[in-house]
Amino acid sequence: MNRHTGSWVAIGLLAVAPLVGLAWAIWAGAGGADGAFALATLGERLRRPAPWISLAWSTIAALVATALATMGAITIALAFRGTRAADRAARALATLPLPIPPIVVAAAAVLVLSQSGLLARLAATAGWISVPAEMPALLNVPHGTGLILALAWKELGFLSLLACTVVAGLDPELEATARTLGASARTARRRVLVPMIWRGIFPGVVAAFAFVLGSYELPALLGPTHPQPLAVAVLERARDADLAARGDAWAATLLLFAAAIAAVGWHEWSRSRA
Amino acid sequence: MRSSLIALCAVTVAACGGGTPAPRAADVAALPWDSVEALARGTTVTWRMWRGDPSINRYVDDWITPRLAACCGVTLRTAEGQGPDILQQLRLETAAGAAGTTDLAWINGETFAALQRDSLLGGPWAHRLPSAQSLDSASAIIMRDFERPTEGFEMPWGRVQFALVYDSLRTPSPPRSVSALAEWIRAHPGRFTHDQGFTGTTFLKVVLYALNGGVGTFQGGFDAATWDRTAPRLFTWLEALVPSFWREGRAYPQSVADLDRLFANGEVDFAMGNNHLGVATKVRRGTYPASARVLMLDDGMIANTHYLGIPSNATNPAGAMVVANFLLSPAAQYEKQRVEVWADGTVLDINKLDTEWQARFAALAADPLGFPDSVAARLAVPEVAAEWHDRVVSEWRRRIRGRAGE
Amino acid sequence: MSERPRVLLLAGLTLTALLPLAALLLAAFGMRWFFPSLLPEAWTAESWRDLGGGRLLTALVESIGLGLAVGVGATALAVPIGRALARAGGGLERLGAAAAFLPVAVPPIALAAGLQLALLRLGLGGTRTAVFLGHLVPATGYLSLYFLGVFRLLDPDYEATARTLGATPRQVLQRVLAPLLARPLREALALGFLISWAQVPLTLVLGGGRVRTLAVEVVAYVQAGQDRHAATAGLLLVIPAVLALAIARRSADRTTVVMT
Repeated sequence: MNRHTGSWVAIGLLAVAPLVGLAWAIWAGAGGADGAFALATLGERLRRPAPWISLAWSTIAALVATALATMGAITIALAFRGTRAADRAARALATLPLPIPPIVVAAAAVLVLSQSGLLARLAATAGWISVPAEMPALLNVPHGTGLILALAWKELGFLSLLACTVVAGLDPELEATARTLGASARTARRRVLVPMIWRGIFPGVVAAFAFVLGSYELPALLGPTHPQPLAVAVLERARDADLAARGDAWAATLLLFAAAIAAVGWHEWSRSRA
Repeated sequence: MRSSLIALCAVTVAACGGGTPAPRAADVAALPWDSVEALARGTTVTWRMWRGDPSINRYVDDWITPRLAACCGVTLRTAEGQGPDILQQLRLETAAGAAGTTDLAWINGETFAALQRDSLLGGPWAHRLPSAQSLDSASAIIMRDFERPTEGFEMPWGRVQFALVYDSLRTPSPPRSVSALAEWIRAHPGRFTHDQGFTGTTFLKVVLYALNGGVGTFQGGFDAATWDRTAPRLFTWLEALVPSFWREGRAYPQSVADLDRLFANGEVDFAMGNNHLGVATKVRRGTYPASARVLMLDDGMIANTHYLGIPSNATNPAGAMVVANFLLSPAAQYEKQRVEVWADGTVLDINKLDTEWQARFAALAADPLGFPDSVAARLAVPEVAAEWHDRVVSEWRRRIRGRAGE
Repeated sequence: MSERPRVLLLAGLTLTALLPLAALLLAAFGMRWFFPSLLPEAWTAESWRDLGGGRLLTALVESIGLGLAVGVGATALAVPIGRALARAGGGLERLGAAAAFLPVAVPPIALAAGLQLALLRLGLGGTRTAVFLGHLVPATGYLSLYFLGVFRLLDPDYEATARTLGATPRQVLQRVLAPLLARPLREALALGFLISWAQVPLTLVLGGGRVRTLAVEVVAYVQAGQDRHAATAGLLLVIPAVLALAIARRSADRTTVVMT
């Protein structure tokens, strides 16, 4: 027995489910589920603009949310690295969204952010608005502000946990050395600490990005009607009364796979650099 | 009698012999009813249904389930799944040659049509139920599902009628026709919308009928030439009007639940629902304010029926028939129609029941929100072939939703 | 950092935690809670009585059982996978890391349909086993990355040295590996539990509507506009999840290895 057999078995175990999913998407996207398998069908489906518009919108929303969450996580990790009660409380609050299931985040976001939600009611109580329409629309809007905020909050839990852990493991001498060499506190932070944290959490950032790009629950409740976020478009087509439209769903699923594989590539590239 | 004995043998062998396929609904239906009941005793029935409404869940879990166990020795299990999910599930199960996971399914309209197209329903069986004697078999709204004769492949279970909902404090004199509604929407920009789901599509069909001389234009099956002639009226009507919709028609509530939330919080002035009796239930629950009222447009409001079907790969059709028979009994239908329970209309012809049940149903009839039953009945419009519905959905997505933001 | 921005940040963080919690509590107990009122017109515990009635309780038990099983199952798979890949080194290790990242990155809605057909063919359609296997996919991917990190830091010489000193493989496991892995194992169980706990699309599709977890109940209630029941089930979902995280966090310094 080859000494690498174990590794190959491990790789096979990990890859089998994604490969089964990928095979189905190609087969059903090419009309196999309707008894008329033809790769030309798949090509034709992928030449339509709609799924690409959805992919582009979802990618931008996921990138912006991930950027916001990353900046928030690094800021919190640096600002609250002490051992006082306030530091510990802030770290706990920042990681709170990590274990909260996306569907609960989405339901709570509707209750808080909608034009008649808790924020709007606070504004009405303060006398700033009198009817819901005066409250800026954050949900189900093409700019996706409310969705991006909710996604960023969800990601903040994971990324701040990583960032705080990286900061806790940093050599305290580093900052001191930088200061001795004449750097201001600000410069030391920007030139020394932030790059180190960034390197430490980058693979986590890629994972968080992949997670929100493919997530369904939040875009379904908070996303715009048009353009449709990709995950929402996939599920709507998959439930279409027109069976041909269901094939569109599986073809669009391939874009999700492609995005996931791109994220894996990005992840590996970042690891190989580290 | 002899043939039914043979059928019983066949069914019993099929049910007991390991590896052989489960009995088919049509074979079970050929048996005398007491044999069906004997087969069903001690079995479990999996009923696939929509499980989102706590009132319906309580009716099924707390009222139906214990009574079924007591009367017929049948254990009822529910599984979540609505039309498109049921279709997808059955198609996949059949493709994989796997044993069925559904014995009884709550379906209607386009799902029934799609299931029949793929021969995914067992039957005929529904006409064999003892309770089916009391069905309102004269009603086309009940016996034809989106114009497709049910032919014993599904059993009518409940009857509802589409309605708009308004707040009598905010809108003391609401519009009462499609044209008056259009005027109202123009005069009150941003205060009207519909959802993207089944209910919203029903609203669009109400408008489609009204703009094209009534439902008669669309009866007798789908016709492409009629569609090409009539659909533009609906979509030009919409294109002219949606700039006055909520959010200028650039966003639509995902589901009727989201529309309810907009209405209750005063973001829009109308909600809508497929069951006009359900408005009272939503007021009781606090989903709507107490001043919410039913609104029916004079052009006619679509009435539709929901049904129970037995999939062709069901493993326990006998149990499913016993459950269906119980659900169609006067007691179960009466309980279901009570506003405090579900407010789902009966499919029974009250006149076919004994006098005691006639009196009890008559006492129910009064709508607590003061909407007269006779008006609802006068305005009731039947469903037409499912393809009209599907066309409205896809054309709306392409022409109206697709233009948002451009 | 000076005090003022810290205070502002802390206040902001408190708000992001308090507002959703307050909204869920008001929705769970409130009746006729309409704009512009901050508080509902009336209060009710109706949805909580339903909890006693069984439906939400059954779902809670289902979620806990599945979460524990997935935590244990995924950990049992991920420890040998992580160890084998870490020992392989080089290109094979990189390929293994990519393979482990794949089930994490591929969205469940993309996986669900293909897995559904495969599991139906195995005769597992709509069963708890199918849902368990489905949840194992992302959980095993995630935990394999985690243990790959753990074993990469763990010097393989520990084992070799112990073996040289005459320890049997069993003793190596008991005396050397188990104490070193105690903390990562605890974290892995909690993380596996959480991945299963929050999962919706895989449960819906593979469970065929018959496996009803708490997360799936929340989706059904949200879609039906049953805000009171949705919020109640949502609160039930949050509490054990926060507890599980607290367990995992007790050794937060270890969590770095998750992604590096």
